[in-house]
Amino acid sequence: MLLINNYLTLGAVLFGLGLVGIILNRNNIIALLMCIELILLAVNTNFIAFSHHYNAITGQVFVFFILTVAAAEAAIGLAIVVLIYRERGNIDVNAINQLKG
Amino acid sequence: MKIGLTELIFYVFAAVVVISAAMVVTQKNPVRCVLFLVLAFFASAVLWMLQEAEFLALILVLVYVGAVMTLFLFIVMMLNIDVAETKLYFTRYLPFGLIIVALLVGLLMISLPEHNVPRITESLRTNQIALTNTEAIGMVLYTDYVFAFELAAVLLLVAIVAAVSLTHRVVVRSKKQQIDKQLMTRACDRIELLSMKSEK
Repeated sequence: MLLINNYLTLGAVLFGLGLVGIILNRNNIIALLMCIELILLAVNTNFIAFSHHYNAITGQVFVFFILTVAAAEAAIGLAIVVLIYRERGNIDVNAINQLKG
Repeated sequence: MKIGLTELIFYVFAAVVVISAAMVVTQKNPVRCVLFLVLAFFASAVLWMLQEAEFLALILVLVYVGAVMTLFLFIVMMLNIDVAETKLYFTRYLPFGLIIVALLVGLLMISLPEHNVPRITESLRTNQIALTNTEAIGMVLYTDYVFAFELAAVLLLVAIVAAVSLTHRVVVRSKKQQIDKQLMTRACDRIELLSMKSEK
């Protein structure tokens, strides 16, 4: 019998890994975007586990919309990465400080 | 304790997901990062299928691996990223990051239910005929959530326009009309009268 606790533990571990990736890869925007994808995967896994557990389809509809928004976010984020690379020649997050007072 | 086939599949693919997620975080080469992320998506599609979310599992493989990850791979290969200098901060923030993640994951583990909550098998809706997963999603997506569905469509359109307009470069040899230049022009820009001595 597969319990919901297994899926929740997996979601927590995945979320933690995505977060540690954001903390560690602070100077590569593409790595940051990939870590955000990991976090979204953890959230979606939780949604689907609860959707199965409560036998309600609403959780899956929510995952559907999260996937849509995440795809749009990835497209625009990568467009911005391309722009930054074209302007500066690197994608170091720490070098982007023109707005710093 | 006897482990059934479902549990075995779950543990194997959960291990694959966790290991490949760790590889995404720690790998130096961005191409390997993307490929490990693809592996994580495939394995979690299997896990979603175990939870009877077949439609979303297939969407994850088709849309995410097929479109979004391919886009990531294109960008990674298009930009020439210096791998050596991008790992400067890795060791510096490692203890800090591990502490935060241990705290957060510990907090989430504490919030898990202690005793095994049984799964609810009867549906919330009473008059429900047996539907496949895709049909069940479609039944609510086009009725209860149709406004959100249309909003998602508009959002995708906005994303297309934004991505194109951000990365589109102005064509230099374009033949389009430049109205400000036309209005600012004067007669002396167009024609110049020279007085020359006529040759004998």
